[in-house]
Amino acid sequence: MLGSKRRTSQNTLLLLASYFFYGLWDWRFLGLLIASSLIDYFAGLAIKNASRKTTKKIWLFTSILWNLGILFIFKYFNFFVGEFNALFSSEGIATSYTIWNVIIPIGLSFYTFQTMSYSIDIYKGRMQPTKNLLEFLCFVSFFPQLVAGPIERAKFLLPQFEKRRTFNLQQSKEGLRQILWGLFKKVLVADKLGIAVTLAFENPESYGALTLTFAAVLFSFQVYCDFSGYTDMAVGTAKLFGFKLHNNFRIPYLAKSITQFWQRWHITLTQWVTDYIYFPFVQKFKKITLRVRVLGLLLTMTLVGFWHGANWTFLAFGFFNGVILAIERIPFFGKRKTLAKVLPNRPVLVTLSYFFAITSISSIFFRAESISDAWLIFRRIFTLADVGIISSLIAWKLLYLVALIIAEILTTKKDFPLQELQLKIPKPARWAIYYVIIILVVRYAEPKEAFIYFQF
Amino acid sequence: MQRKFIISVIAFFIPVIVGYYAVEYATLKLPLHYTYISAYLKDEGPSIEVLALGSSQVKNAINPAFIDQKSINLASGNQHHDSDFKLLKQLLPQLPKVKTVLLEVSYSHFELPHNGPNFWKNTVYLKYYGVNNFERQTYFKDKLLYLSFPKFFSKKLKSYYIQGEDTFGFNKYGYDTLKYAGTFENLNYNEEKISKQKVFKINKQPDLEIFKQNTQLFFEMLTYLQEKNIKVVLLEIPMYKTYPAQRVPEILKRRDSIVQLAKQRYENVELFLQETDTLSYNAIHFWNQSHMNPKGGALYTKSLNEFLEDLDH
Repeated sequence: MLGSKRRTSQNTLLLLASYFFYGLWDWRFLGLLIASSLIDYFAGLAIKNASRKTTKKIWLFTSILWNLGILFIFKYFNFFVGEFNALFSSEGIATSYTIWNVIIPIGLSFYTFQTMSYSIDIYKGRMQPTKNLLEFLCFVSFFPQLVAGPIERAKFLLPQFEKRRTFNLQQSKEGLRQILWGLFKKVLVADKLGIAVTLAFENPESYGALTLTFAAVLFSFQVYCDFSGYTDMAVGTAKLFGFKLHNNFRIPYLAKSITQFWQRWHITLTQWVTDYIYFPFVQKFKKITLRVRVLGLLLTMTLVGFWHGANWTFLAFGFFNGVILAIERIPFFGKRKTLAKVLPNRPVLVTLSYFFAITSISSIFFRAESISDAWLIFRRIFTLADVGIISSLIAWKLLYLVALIIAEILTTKKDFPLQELQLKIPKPARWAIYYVIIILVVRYAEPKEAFIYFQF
Repeated sequence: MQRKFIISVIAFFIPVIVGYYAVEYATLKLPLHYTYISAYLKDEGPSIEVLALGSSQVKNAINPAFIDQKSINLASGNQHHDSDFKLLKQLLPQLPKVKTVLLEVSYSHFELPHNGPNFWKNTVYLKYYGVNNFERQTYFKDKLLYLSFPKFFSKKLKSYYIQGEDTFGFNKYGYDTLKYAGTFENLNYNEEKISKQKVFKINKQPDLEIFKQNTQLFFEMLTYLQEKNIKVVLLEIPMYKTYPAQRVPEILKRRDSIVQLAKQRYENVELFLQETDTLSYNAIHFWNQSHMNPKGGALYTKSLNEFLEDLDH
């Protein structure tokens, strides 16, 4: 990228870097990534070149089947086999379908969604396929966002590989700042909260209602800081290479309803499922009634839950969010006056209590190891079990969280709090801030904590 | 513009790198028992006959200086069977004369989760013993000692360099002969005061799933050692008398059954069980409820030495 080399060499370098990055985790799955890229590349061209609609459809289904197929095999196969065996054993019938001993390729859920939308968009005539294989391979494997998003559309990201990128000083500086901010969120907030959350969730019978509720709220922040921290690092790294990626989060904990929350949380996934699952589903009906929309929401959100992992807890998480979103759309307060519209005008205390109550329930489904664990936690919370106290261990962790919330609330109009810092603070003070963050990150890092969203 | 950016980035990161290097260097210079063990392993590896593995309980209890056969104690805090097994497999080629392996089977060993590939001490093993416990290719960052557990090493750095606590008595085997400062010393080894301490670290959470996984690996380890014609001595380290009283019967029963099963199944397995020997050991031999101090370690190691001698004859 340094200097103004030709586009092809820039892309070749990026592709090699991306494959190297992916291969560092497990080189065996590089083949799957390349195969996936090639299938969608040729499917895209074939859809465009086919003269008959049936042929276009066949190619589209080839692409979708491949992507859903590998998702199913690597991510969901064992779940279904396990449930199938359990179902029949409970009926007294012995089945012995073997669980496949395979790990989920990292980033699979992200890149399959990205490539599937490429084929669908071409089929729908929303974009033209690229003829340049190198650019397409780069688009699928672009390393900053390969393993945990943001899930970018080809229409947005692909053109960035098609033009020569030149060095941009300001963008590069912003990139570094965003990476630093991401590190702060991940290492100093998410990982710290993770310790307290793990204590409570792995041993719920030792804690009372208050502690467990508190742990559920903390977990919401942990996931937010973990995932958005990664996204900041991904977006920041992309900036260093002259790319722009979407921000996946817009301070979701300031949402005043669950509808607003999903517009601020994992935005690229929400948009993806809205465009490729929800809309196509509701548009199948002649008349889009409230019932159809509710049905669409339930289906879409349950699938969102299942996208997170092959476990009943994730299904429950998705379905629960679907139910709440549906409730928020029902006009309880007169014509067109839904909860989603009424809530934002209510006092902050009301909206905040509502929002955290719902997200805490949702978090419990998300974090619990199993549905029975989730029920145990709910039981303890709703029966006001009073064992245990909120330990000082948990309290200390809050300091970083408080710092984060203050920083984000003071800079709501920015993509991240350190953005455009040079406009307000002189260089020595800026560097002092950076050094302090780096020292804190190095000093207070916990022994290796993986990113939560890598597993999806 | 690019030049300016690169110069700025370099200028910014130089203090970061220099600062980190200084901390890493200071960490490496800390008197850690691994340093001594590493040197001993290098010098005496080819002639070592007895190898001890386990957690801090074994680390505190076995002082190789009191074993007549050439011995090494590779036990360390929180080290579980999976780490033991990986150390064993990778270090045995350097220890061709090893004929006895001492393995810990503490009360909680079978129902606490394994260390796994992300255990922070994997960096220590890599750095000092040249052993890769990460279950993957290693990178430069894996060798950075301070970064493996900043909280732990910051505390060590502070106490050694700032507070001047340097009363370490490591012998050539890496055993700290001066490690008395602890719970029991603070209580002047007063049995009455000690008995009032009802809360101390002990696992009270039975976990059948973990038990299944741990026993599977444990038997794999015994099979491996049997195939190598290496004798195995399963150790239950002495505990202070208030500790056994708090053990959960379910966990205890399962542990005991596995120990007995191992003895029945494997001809090369011997048992040296002293967990509840409250007659030979009293408060002055302990550092806390579950760990011995150097005095207790000396006493225990001497009796272990007699046991090993008897085995040989």
